[in-house]
Amino acid sequence: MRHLLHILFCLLLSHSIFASDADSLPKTKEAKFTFHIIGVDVSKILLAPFVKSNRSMEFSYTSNLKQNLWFTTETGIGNSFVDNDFLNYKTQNFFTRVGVDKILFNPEFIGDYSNALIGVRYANSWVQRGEATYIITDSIWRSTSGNIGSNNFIAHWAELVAGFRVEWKKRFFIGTQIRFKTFLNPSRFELLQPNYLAGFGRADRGSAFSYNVFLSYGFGSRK
Amino acid sequence: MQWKCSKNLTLRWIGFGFLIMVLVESCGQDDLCIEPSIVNMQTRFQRADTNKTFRDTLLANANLYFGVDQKYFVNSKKRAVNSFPLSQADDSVRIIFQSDSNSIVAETIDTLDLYYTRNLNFISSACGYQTYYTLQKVIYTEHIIDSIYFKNKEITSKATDNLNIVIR
Repeated sequence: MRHLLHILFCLLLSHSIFASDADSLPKTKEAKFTFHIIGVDVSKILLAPFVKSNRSMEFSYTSNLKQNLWFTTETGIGNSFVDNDFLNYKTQNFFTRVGVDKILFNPEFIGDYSNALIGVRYANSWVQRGEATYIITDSIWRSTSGNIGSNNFIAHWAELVAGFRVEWKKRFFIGTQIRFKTFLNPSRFELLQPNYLAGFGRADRGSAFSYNVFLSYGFGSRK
Repeated sequence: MQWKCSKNLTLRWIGFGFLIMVLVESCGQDDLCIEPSIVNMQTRFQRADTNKTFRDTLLANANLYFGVDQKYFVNSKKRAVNSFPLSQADDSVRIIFQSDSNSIVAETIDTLDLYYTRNLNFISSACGYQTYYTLQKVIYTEHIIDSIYFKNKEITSKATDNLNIVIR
C-alpha cells in the first residue's frame, strides 16, 4: 500500500511539476508527426500455445501530435471458437482503433519517448459469426437443441487506456497497456454474444479488461 | 521520510504493477459454467378466508408430480410455495397435484395442463442457453383446486410467484 501511494504521489507531483515547467517555457512551433513508432502485441504470440479458444494479432502505430499528446491507431485480426457440451460456434473479426495518448511526464531530454501514458480509443470491428448449434440439457423433461443462423455485424466500443512505454534499446520500445472497454452497441449481441473478439477480449459481457504488451520500433527525427 | 520521485523509479514501479495486473487478468479467464440452465416456475397455495381474501395455506403433505411420465415430484409439507421446471422442448406440460400423499383417491387429485410460449435466453458461452417462458393458459380439474390465477406470466431466472393455486 505504501508503494502504491508513493507511485500515485509521484505521478501527480511530477505531472503537475513538469506541466507547470512546460507551461512556463517560451512557446515554439511544436513538431507534429516527426517520430513514428510501429509495434506488434507480443503477448498474443507468446500466450498462443496456452490459449486454446482464440487467436489474434494486433499492431499499433503511434506518432507525436503535440509534445505530450500522441496520435495512435491500432489494428488487428483474430478468430475464436466455442466448443463445449452446450454451445458450438466460430467467430472471426477485424478491428481498427483510433485515439490519443497523453503522456504523463515531460521528457528528460530531447527525443526521450519513454513515458507513462493514459489514453482513449474508439474501436470499430467487422465481425463474422458462423452458425451456432446449442443443446439445453434437461434430465427432468427432455433435452432440446437448435441452431442460430450465422450473422455478420459491426461492433463499436470505447476504451480507456493506461500504460507505459520504455526505450530499452535505441529505437526499440517495449510497453504494456491495461484497457477498460465497453460496447457502444451491445444490443447487436442479444441473441448470441461472441465469446471473444480480437481487440476487445472476452465479449460475452458488455465490458471487459484486457492488456497489451507491444514490442515496437521507432523511426523519424527526434525533435 | 524523504520522497524520491524520479521518472525512471516511477516507471519501474508502474511496470511492476502492470505485470501483476496482467498476471491476474490472465488467470481470470475461466470457462466454467456455474449457472443452472433450468428455470423454475413458482406456485403458491392459497385459501380464501371468511372475508374472501386469499391467504397462504400450508398443506400437510401434498405432492406435485412433473417431468416425463410424472417421474419427479416436490413434496409440499407445511409449505405454501413450490417450484418446478417446465419442459424446454414442448409448449405445454401436465402437472399432477396430489393433495395428500397418503391418498390415491381420485377426488384428492387434480391435473393441471400448463400452456406457454418459450424464449431462448443466452447465459454465457460456457453455459449456452436456458429457456424463459410466458404462460398462456392453464386448464385444470376441480377436485381440490378451487381456482387458479396468474401472478406473473413471465417465468425467468428471477424467483417470483407465477401461479397461485387456490385450494377449496
